[in-house]
Amino acid sequence: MRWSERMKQRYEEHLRNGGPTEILAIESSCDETAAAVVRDGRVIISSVVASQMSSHERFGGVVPEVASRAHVEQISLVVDEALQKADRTLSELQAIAVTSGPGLIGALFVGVTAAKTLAQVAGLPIIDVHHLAGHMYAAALSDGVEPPFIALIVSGGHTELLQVNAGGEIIRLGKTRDDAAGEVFDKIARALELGYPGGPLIQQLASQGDPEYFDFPQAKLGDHSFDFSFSGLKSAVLLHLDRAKKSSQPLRKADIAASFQRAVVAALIAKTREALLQTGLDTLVVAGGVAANLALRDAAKSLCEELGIRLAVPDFWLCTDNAAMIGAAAYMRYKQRKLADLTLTGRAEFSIDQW
Amino acid sequence: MALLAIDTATPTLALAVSDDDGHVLAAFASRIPKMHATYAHPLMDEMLAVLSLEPQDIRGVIVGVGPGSYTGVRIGVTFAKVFAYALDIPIIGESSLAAAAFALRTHCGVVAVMWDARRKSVYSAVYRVQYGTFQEVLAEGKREIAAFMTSLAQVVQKDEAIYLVGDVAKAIYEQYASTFLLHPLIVADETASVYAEHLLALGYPELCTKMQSREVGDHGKDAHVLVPRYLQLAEAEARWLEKRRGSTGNESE
Repeated sequence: MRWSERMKQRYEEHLRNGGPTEILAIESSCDETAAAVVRDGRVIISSVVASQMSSHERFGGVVPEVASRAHVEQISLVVDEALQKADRTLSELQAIAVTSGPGLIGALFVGVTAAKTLAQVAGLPIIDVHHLAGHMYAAALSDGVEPPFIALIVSGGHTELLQVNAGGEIIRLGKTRDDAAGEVFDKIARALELGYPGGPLIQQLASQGDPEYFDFPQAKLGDHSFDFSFSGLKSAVLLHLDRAKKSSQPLRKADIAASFQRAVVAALIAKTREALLQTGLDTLVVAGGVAANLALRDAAKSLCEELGIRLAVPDFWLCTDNAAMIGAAAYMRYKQRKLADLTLTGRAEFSIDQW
Repeated sequence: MALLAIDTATPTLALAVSDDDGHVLAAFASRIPKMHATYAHPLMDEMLAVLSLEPQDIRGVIVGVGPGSYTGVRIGVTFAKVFAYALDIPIIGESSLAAAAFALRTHCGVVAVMWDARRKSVYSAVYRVQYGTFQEVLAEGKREIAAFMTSLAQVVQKDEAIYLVGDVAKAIYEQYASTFLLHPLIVADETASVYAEHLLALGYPELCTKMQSREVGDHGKDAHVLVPRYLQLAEAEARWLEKRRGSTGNESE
């Protein structure tokens, strides 16, 4: 029997009879090889992340070819560990979910190929998950939040402001026009000679600095746009550093870090505030790697208190790339019969409103 | 009960299924570049359906581990290792170059396989074939074309036929025909291709040994350690090592 027939039999039977939905999810879009088993989009039964961070550190950033090679080495081990920790066999699960994009294409191929193979062998449905939707639904794992909401997703590769309707439909309100917020953190950290990754290092240094000391500029993109821009801010900070280094004045690194961080957070919060006011939605989700930043979390909290709305933020360990969030995002699609097939492939570019 | 062979290291996507005795039941090859990730699974599904087999009927896997396209070879290796892991069956990796040469095993002479590795270099190896016997005479490696030709001249015996195989074979034939005037020089394949029926035949003896010698239940673990054979470091890694060697050299001065 073909995969599609075997899969459909199981799938229809499960939808008819009900019972918990346990999904094995795989994530390999950047430099983490991850697998997890998640029940009903809410409960993490197991979550395994093999990080390559120490391997990329020496290059000052993620090298795609190095990442892809590591994924091939790790993928079956990580899947095995996730199944063992969950005490499940493949045939006890209901579906396989995988990040199909956006991300590094060679890296995505490894996860997608592995997921399709597992689904084919076990006769399970395949659910493709947009990486950023995964980040967003990580909040469901920590907080149980469900759409509708406004989502601010901020990471090393992305900065997006989304409106998510009750059925899970996603409308992109705005995105960055140049650098992602996390990327700017990395670049400024490098200029300050702090190391990689930049986010946690800048946050640490910023805690000893005066966020009002420097008044770095924020982009103004017109009144009606929800887009972000961070290249102007980045240039201003780099220019300041350049000048300060040439003069004999002491470099106020902590004040620079604090003031830079304040400017990024202010820009993110300003647009988010407008989106909340304009849509009238009463829940905000902040997610992605930069959502681990304390200044951003505090500012989001203040904003939500001021507007009297609910804030949902993933636990710290779920902000960075992991597979549990992919399993969470896949659940709604499983329920909505939005399944992929064996031709699913990796997509380096993948707009979230195409998901 | 059946065996599976897959190779995606070249622009050819190749799959084959045989019975337990290594007799090919179905083989598939397509040359649609950059579609391996999309079509490997649907084609596998189709092949099994035609043969009225389920994935669970496959008892062993042979995979081409390269060298070749980095992205390409990872697709086949990931497919094969996850397949073997999920079914807990034995898996072996074979050189994709050797599999390409194995197509000519019933000929008589040496088979020189050469696939473009850019910057005037080739993934290359030489094998001696003699009516069914197959022997490596120059180990696989990434070499400059000129150096490979020198090595080839050294290993080839008097009057021996030379079969050139690979996407640069034609160009090399034209450039080096005069060097090998005393040998029959034949371009046997102008593409970089592996056909899975040859890969299957090449790997069959080793796979059989493995299937017979191991306890059931041990097999899936072999899949974890299987990796592609790239034959070279990632560029960034090579540069980093170079730089580090440079800096430690200075320190010792």
